[in-house]
Amino acid sequence: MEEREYQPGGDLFDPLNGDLIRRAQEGEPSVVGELYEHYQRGIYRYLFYRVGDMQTAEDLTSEVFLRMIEKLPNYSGRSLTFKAWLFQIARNLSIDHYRRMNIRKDVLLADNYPEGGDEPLEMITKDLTSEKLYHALVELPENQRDVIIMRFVVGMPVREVAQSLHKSENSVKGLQRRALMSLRDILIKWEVAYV
Amino acid sequence: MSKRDDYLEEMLNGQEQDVAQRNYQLGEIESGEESALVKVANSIRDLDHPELDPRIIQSEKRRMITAARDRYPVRQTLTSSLNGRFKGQWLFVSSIAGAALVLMMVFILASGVGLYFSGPRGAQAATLVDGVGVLEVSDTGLANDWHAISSGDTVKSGQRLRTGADSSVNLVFFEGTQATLNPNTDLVISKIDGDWGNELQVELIQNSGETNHQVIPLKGDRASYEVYTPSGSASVRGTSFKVLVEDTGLSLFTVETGEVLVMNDGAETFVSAGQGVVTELGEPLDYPTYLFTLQGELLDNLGSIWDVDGVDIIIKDGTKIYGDPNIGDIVLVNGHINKDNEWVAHTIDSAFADGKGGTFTGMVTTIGTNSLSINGIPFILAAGQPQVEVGDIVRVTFTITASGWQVESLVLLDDRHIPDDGDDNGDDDPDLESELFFHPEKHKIYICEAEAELAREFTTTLNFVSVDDSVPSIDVLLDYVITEGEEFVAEVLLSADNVVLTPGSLVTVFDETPVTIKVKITLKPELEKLPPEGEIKIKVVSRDPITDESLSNYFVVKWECDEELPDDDTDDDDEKDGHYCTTDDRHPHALQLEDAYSDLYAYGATYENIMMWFCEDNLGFGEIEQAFKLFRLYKDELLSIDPTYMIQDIIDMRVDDGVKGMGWGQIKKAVAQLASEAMLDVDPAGKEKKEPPGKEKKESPGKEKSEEAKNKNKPKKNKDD
Repeated sequence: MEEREYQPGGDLFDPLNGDLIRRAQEGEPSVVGELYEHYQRGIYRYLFYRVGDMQTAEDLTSEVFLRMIEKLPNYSGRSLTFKAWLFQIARNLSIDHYRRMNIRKDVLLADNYPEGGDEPLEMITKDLTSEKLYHALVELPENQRDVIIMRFVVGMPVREVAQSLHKSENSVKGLQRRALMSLRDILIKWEVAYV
Repeated sequence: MSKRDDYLEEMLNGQEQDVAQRNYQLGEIESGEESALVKVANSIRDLDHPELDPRIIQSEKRRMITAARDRYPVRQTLTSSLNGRFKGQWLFVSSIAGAALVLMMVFILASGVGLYFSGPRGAQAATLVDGVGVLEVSDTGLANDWHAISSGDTVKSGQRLRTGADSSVNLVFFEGTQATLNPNTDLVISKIDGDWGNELQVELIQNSGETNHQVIPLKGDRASYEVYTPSGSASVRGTSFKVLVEDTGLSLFTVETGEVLVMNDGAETFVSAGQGVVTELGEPLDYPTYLFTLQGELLDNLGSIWDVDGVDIIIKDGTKIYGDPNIGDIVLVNGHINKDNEWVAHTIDSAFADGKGGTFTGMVTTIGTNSLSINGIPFILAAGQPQVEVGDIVRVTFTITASGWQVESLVLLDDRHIPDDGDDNGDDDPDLESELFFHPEKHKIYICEAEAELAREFTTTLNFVSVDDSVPSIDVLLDYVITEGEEFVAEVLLSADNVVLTPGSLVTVFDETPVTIKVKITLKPELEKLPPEGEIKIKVVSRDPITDESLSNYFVVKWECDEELPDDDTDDDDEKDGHYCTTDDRHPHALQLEDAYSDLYAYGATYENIMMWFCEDNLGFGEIEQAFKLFRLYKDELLSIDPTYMIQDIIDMRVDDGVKGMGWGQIKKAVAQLASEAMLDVDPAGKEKKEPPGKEKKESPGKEKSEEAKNKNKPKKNKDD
């Protein structure tokens, strides 16, 4: 089955075309602005669900695009799409962020869960919200979390997710299944309606 | 499991493509596990995910453009200039003393050049003057990095400044231009620079609040002064103007003196003294309107039209009304006069002083002996006031008397820009002409020799915009010329709206109905190998057979392949490379590799390690890159087996104590096998492994070295060590 961008307008910057990327590499600043405008939403959402904080996600989004400007001359486009490359930068920065902050998963959980309770405070309403999704994602291994965010929040096809995570497409499909199963179990446990 | 993964993926893709089909599919497999998983995925897709504030997006976009602008020219001009200037001299340097001398000269000259290009003292900063209240600056431009700043301090490019309530400050640039930040203003100093001859370059991003600018007429071609807001921008050469940014991103640009070019979403308009223009996110650029100030008695304040001393004042959603004005109060109204000659209020406030009167700008419509009318409003004219003519644009200051509106002063404005009347009938610009153009104009494809395909196709559109209703279309002849690389070209096919044309075909282009032009370039099949670099350039010409005017558009296929990093160094390079192993000079190839694989830094992709593998293990950079690629590809699987797994472990398979071991084909298979075992061993919930497999890998020869590497990313070991 043919892969398709979930995000409307994604074809505009189809890296197979490459013209925009090439123009950006040639130093056309306005094209860099266009790239930012096009990709900021996906990058911001990815980072938000990685770090769970809007302000940090905003700052990291800026860093991703500044890093993009810095590294753009080295991007060849031969082995991965521009979008996948950009998400690699975002992923690395989020990892660096946690390294810098010395945050571990158990610390995150301690911050987000009430003492002595089994469920996050936000679980009073039973509908799925972005906050609940974040809490549920924290429960998943990092790879699975990335796959869920990239596939269903950002809307990337399996091929690009695989490139971003340096994995095979089959590997991503496997991670996707396991991640959805884990999420389903978590949502059932928290009695959160997900339909 | 893999088939079920594929099945789930197919279902998920079906969901993406058609919601109706989604429901149908769900019904079909209601009892299946995949159905529940698809529901989970859909619930995530349908969530209201967080987004950046549109104002932040716009200001960040500007910031990125500035960052790109700052980065690329420096790389292009400085390096090429220095390379060009000193390249030849190196050939004559044969002794260490000579080299040192040249180095010193280069340093002195470069310092001089640097000083010259850095511009006059203080040109890269602005000084804070007359600061009042809470003033804060963020050094990084990020929102969580604020600290206090006060008068006398300076700010420079990249910093962000904000004022609190009841606070204000003036920014004074090196040649005297000033920007005033009023209360609750957030301003990014995107760029401050300058050059000799008082050449000022300023770029500001105003996120919120109000700023006033007094720009000294700019000198030099490169001088610029620009203010960007979430919804528009202002560019000036020398003027006084004000920028107000509302919470919604709506921006009001008003001009005191001179002229301002305001842009929004690709459109632009000149705003003259006495005029203002509003820009809004997602809205087309409004036309400039004349501004007014009116102080008078409030006679009616019901509904959306208030009466101030006989003038109907339109109250809109965005009108700010301060306090609680009552009938009989003297109020001060600021606003603009729209194209229907209505007075629209921006703000209504209590009057600060006695008296009634106001100021506004408009066109003289009639002139009498002791009177005149401006925009149709009659005024009493005292003797000795300036002579004006019908059609002049004037700024009038008046008082309201029992006899009528009395002119106090009348200023004839030099720069006249009559506002566009807002329609599109072309009567606003007598010079407007019909236009034929290609869009986009430039087409260039870069290919690598290895990627070369026999055919490449470009698409553009030919557009015609007519300003004359009697000319709804234009006929043009389309033809092409191969201007470069003819030896590589077998065929060029031109088509218009998918109809293949013979060269010189007549094509009809209707007003505002683009014709899709495709240019397909086929390379000669007998060319087995293209040269390392080259270019094919096709010029497509559109010619009007009546006027013989022509229009050209170029289509370029260019190839210039980067050299891959060599697996083994050539003999010629041995001596040079050995130099890097025995001195502290940094090997450019190794630096490139470290940079390209910076995401693997924590796993051993460091310059020191690269040089150790290169110098001690005699691995080529190509081989080292193989190891990096392999590690990157299977990183997560390998780390899931052993969190301490490093690139060194892969290198160890290739070489052990200087002896070459497995070939890269074998190594790839071995690592892939290891990774696939890791995948199989993941439990359904995706949690940690039951028992780390691949232990046999950890007992492979060379493990001692990998343990050593893990300690501290292996510092460089010179052969002398």
